Amino acid sequence: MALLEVKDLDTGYGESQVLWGVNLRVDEGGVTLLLGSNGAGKTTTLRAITGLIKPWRGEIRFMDRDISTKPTHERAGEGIIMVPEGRRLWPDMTVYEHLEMGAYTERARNRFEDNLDFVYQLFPVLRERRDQLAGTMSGGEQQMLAIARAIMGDPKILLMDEPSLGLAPSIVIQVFNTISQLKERGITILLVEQNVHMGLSVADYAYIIENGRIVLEGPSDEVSQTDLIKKSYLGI
Amino acid sequence: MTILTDLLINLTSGFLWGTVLGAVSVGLTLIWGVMKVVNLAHGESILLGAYVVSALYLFLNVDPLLAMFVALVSGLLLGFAIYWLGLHKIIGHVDVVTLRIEMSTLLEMFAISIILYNIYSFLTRSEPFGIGIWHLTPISYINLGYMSIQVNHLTAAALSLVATFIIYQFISKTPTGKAIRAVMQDSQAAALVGINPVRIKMLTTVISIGFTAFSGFLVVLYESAVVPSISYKYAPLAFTIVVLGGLGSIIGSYIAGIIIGVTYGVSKVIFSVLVSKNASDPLALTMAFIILVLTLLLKPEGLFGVKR
Repeated sequence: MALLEVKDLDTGYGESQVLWGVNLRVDEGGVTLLLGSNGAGKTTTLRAITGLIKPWRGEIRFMDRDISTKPTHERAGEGIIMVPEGRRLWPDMTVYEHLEMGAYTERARNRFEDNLDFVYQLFPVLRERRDQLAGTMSGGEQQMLAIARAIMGDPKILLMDEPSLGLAPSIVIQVFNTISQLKERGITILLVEQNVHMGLSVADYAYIIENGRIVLEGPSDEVSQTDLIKKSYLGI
Repeated sequence: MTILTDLLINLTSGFLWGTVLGAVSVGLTLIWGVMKVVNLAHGESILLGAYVVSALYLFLNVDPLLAMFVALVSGLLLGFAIYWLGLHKIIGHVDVVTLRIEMSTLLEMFAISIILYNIYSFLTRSEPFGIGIWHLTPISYINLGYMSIQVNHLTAAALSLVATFIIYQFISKTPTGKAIRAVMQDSQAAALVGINPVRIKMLTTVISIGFTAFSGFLVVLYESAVVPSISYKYAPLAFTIVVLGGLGSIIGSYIAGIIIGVTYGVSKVIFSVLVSKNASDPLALTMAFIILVLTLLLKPEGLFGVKR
């Protein structure tokens, strides 16, 4: 059964349409990858799934119910949690306050201790830095905190918007290791990436989006063998 | 009387008045700092509390210390009305607040300010209205040797500290307070963790205006009586204090209030020596706004604000 389904989705900003009939499905467990270049519509797709932007046409179904009209915070309450692009931390709040606020919803509060243990095990540095203000941390630490905040929300599906963007190569490897660990824990992930190699290596299934349309989809090992990927993305 | 005693007297009374100014500014720093609502009806929100306490005391003989809770509730209700009648259509969404939205709130609150001002003027015929020198204790003055202090002024200072401490604890320690700070710093990120930003904005309006009306009780306790035009004194001072303290910082506002109060007291002495006794009051108030200009030039984020 599909956990999340995006059906015939059209949407955009103001007058300009960004997505044209996007179809996408995420099954429970595993990592689904949404791959595409800058401005292809990856972030817009995630914003539509979280409700930060309204669909013009089509629908978004979660656990077999239409959630297209629900506000963002209610979707979070159902377990749709996003690590937004650019981290979007609250600069004047401490690390621990981020973790507390990450578990704001009722279902997340009930699993607070469990998730906190897991987060501290993933990122021991966050335990040491619990009283530090988020705005004073390095980019890599901030990305860890953004992921940790999302895990505290006890996601049924975790949307990750370019978690490797703007980070040093060693930190990028660490982020992808984290994604593998989340996958092992059984968290369903929809990953948006420009980093084709890393993305495909961790993903089970991949979609390629170009100019607001899905142009290719398939199991990631098959997708990585296609001419489109070899030519346009890997430059082979 | 020597200049030194004069200085000591004005320092003391400036400090006490400063605590009232501090409490008066806390509500403004919340509504402006958190929601980018430029509350031009701040002075009228202060007056609401002052009038509610005075009317209850004069007409129904209600103890002002009880009436201050009614002032708080009246402010909460005014905040609720202002939010749903005026602000919801402007700020009632998840999006990040733009300058255009901030300007719209300014116009909206300006309209509310004028409406309230005229209602007050009509009801009181613009004559002084207040609780007089009501006091907690059998004595109205305490002798400090170099001066005697009104018990009311001490009560106002003590209550301002307690009230500010309570709202500070609320904002920094409770889950709702943390949600308010999260919405203030990034409302989309707040929505993504399950916080309803619209509900938080409504709540912040209600709390800010409620606290402001409560601070109006402190003003009438300090001033004995108020006229509608007193809002032209307190509201601009509150804006100055909020900028000096750092937008959104409660402690910053309280301390900046005391700084402005003390500056006023000290400059009054200086100007009465340098210029004349009559000119010292307006000149001392002008000093407060010179501080505003200097803050904007030298430290635009304020004493306790964060650079962005």
